[in-house]
Amino acid sequence: MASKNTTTSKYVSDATEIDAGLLERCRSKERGAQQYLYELCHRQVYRLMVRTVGLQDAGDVTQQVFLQLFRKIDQFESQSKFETWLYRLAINEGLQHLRKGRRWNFQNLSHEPMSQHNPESERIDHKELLEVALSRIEPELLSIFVLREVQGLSYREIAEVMEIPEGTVGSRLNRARRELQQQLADLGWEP
Amino acid sequence: MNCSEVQELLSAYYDGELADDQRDRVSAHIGTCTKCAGELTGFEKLSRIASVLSEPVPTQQIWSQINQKLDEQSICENPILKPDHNDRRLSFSVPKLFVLAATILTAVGISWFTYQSWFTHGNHVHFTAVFSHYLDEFVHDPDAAQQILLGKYENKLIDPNRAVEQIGYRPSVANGLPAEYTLESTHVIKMPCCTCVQSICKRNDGSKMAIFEHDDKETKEWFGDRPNISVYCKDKQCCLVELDKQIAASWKQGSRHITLVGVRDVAEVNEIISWLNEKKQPVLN
Repeated sequence: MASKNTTTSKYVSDATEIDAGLLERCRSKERGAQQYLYELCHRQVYRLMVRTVGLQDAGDVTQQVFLQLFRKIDQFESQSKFETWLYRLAINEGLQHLRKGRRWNFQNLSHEPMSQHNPESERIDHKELLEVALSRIEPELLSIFVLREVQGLSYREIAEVMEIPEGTVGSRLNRARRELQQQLADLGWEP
Repeated sequence: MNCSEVQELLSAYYDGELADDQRDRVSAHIGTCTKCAGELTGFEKLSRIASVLSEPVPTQQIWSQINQKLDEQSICENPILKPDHNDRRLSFSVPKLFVLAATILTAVGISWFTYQSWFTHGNHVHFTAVFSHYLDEFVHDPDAAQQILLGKYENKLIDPNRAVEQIGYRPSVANGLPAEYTLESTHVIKMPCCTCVQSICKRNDGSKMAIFEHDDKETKEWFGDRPNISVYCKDKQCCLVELDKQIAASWKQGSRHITLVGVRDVAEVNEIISWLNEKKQPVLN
């Protein structure tokens, strides 16, 4: 059985347009530049947040990510990759949101409970099950799975975003995948 | 390679992240081991489901809210615009001043309606920024937070039992507070959104909570675009906002709204609502 080919990173698609000039204008708090940077990056950040914190809160957390971005843009060092820095901000904001959410001591509001009777196709069934399973695993494992499987980042990129050694990425992904499979099995998933 | 070694490398193998020699050794093992091959198949199935997860489209509203928040931050950072002689953007030459004067004269022609709309909007944006500052400060220093609010808006210290003469209704704290609280002060504060009655209540341990009673229909601008959730506490639908180690809560009580700042947790919101409901104060119902 062959291993999967390394997927192309789904980093910000218009990354080439994010140049030093644009970032400098954002540092000067030029609203037009801030909006342009948002236009270039927000779809990727939103998608990451939908998978990390759930659809219900993704808009609010995306908003927080960009407010943090504009507040902290002076801290971005131009020798590192902007997209890595942005993903790090987004992941940190998402994790913080998840941890806070658990402090409310309410049931997880981001994911509706699975219905007993679903008229949709089997594939949609599986998607729903995966979304529930994702909401049940540790936030750090959830993040690493999403960065790999949804955002398509390489191990090196994930290591930079999560600020962990590259060698740790594989072992955490092992745990994430095994825990997801276990959660899916508990939910009645029949592959 | 044995199963244990292969299991440790399985994700890296699956994701194509192994060096050639390691990949070949893992591949050779998988060819002869049904257990490891089965686990790899599980990874593939997981990827297949993940690849077809729906991709919701972000709404336009997200940028509008960011834009508004950036406006508020800008107001906080520059409460009074002062010309900075070192800032070339504010350094005008004479012809530019002439153009500026002409622009101002033109601007005078703008309708009163437009001005009023802008003024009202500006006031509300400013209020959201001030209240946001108040919320953040209250967590660490309720007294300093109180000074922020009293310093910004016209206010008057009142006796809650005589407040009806000034505000037309008897505030909820006029009939006393739950046993574990004492009333420290009550002010009438004239804010852009409404005139409210604000009471500072001290708990037995010395910590403080603020109770606002107000008429405005919505409390959205009180919390700006801070993340909030809407849940039922007792019989009231409450908007809850998490502050650092506290929460703020707001709900409709009778014909008015109650907003609490500096609440410890949802249980305390429930206690206050129960107390208000038990009081059955006629002015609130």
